[in-house]
Amino acid sequence: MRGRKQKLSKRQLQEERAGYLFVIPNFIGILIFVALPILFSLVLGFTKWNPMQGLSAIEFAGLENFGRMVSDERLKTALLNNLIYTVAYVPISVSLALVIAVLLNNYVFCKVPLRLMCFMPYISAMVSVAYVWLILLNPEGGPVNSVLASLGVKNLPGWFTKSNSALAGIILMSIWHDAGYYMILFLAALQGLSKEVYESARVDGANGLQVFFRITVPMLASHILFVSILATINSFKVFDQINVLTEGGPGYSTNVLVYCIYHYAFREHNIGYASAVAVLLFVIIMVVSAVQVKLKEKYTL
Amino acid sequence: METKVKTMTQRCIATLLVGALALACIFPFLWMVSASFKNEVDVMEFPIRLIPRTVNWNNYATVWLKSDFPNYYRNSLIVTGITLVGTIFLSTTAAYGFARLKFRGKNLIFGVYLATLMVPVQVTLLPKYIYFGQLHLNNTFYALILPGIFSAFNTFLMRQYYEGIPYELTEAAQIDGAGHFRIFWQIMLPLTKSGFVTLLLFSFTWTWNDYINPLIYCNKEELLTLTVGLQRFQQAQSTHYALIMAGCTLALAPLILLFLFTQKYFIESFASSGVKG
Repeated sequence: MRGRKQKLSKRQLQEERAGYLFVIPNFIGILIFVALPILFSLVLGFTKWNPMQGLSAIEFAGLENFGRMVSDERLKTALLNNLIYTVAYVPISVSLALVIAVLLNNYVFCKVPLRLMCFMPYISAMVSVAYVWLILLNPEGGPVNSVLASLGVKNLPGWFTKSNSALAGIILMSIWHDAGYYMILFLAALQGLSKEVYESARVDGANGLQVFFRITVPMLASHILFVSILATINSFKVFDQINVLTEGGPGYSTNVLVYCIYHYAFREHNIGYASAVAVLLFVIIMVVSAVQVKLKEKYTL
Repeated sequence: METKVKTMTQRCIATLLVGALALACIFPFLWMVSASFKNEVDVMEFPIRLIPRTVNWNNYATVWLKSDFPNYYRNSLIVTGITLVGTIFLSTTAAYGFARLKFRGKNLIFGVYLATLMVPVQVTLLPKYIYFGQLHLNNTFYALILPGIFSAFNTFLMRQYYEGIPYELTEAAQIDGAGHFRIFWQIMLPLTKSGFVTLLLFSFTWTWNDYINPLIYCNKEELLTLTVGLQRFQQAQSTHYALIMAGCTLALAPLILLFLFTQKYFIESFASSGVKG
């Protein structure tokens, strides 16, 4: 009896040793390259530092950076632009994705090639497709404006060259790029729905629209919520297309939070203030994530 | 019979509608490839002509021979290749530890993983920039590879696959005297092939398409990967659209071709990420 117990604990010790061997190499890297930078980023927001002067020039600045935010026009515009971006991008891309997913799942012929075509933009590098869009939306002779002109549109949009249309161009391109991904998520969710409810709805003579709004949408409620929050978080991370196409301009018209971080750190060499903006981004994303966790509990996704 | 006719017309309308949207999704790609074969003067012609009047290969020759594109390609291949091998090894082993082994401090360590999952890379760009500066890693491939191979997300993803394997299978092997590494190698990995493919396609896509990390940590001309390289190329060419489109086509080709041939796996992988993550 005693011998057996000893043997068991030897096995447990062995298992523990194996556990550390399997996990520690990765954990050390995660600590160094992910966890510590997160803590460091929170500290940096309270400092003043120009990296050109070396690490010794770093000094504690208290809440100064956060005080400066209040009167920072660029940052205020960036926040507003981020909100506009979110309010346009999230509902349009998510509802478009849902409608396409339902049509693909229930109605369409040639489902596989159509699904492939819709998903293709998402796996393409944003930088490459951004340059294609730059030419497509060229106000002088670009294909999109040429089509609009031949349809008789008088005031052709200047897209990325005008401050009143640049953000719209960025949003349009982002929806084009990402909607296919949200569609794939909905398609996976639709496959999990029971067929019986649909059968009985058809027996009762419900039409397609009724089925969509009274059955599909309520049954997918938790997924719609999850995808919307994912899209919201993504909308606060937008950067690539803006740095490539407009560099925040014309004027401040396409400044967003991540672009501000980049601009303050690498154009104005003010790492402290840029980090304070990063802390602001961190807080926003944490709030959105907290909402997600709360709602997840409620709907038990 | 009547309902059948109705659903038939419904299906046709739906196919047309989705077909139009799908065309809008791939139109920029078609236009890009078409323009890459055109003479510069024909790029903006209207009405749009997708099949070029004359097929002009010179754009590709110019991009490949007179710019640093071959170099960008090589750099992207090196960074993506090493990152893939590294992250596959490190995430699958750690995931096995978290999923199947008992050890003290496991919950605490896993808590750190979960906490980091919520924080986007954009938040930690600057601390890493300072850090890499101190370690003299900026403007080396290490600055891209090291943060790429240690991935909490990949570990989390694989852990979920390993948790789904019945304990009976591993216990039987254990009774036969197999060690944990053998169980991992001979039972876990072969039984979670779909998870492995997901990890592979995911990491490949993220690393190949990554723009913000190379932009900040590794932007010396000879070390540029395709994304930032393409940006430099575009800035140098500015309005030479046919050349830029040839560059974009070259930059996108590897991933798009891989996607076209393995689209089923791609779509399953990305679908599972959302439901689980």
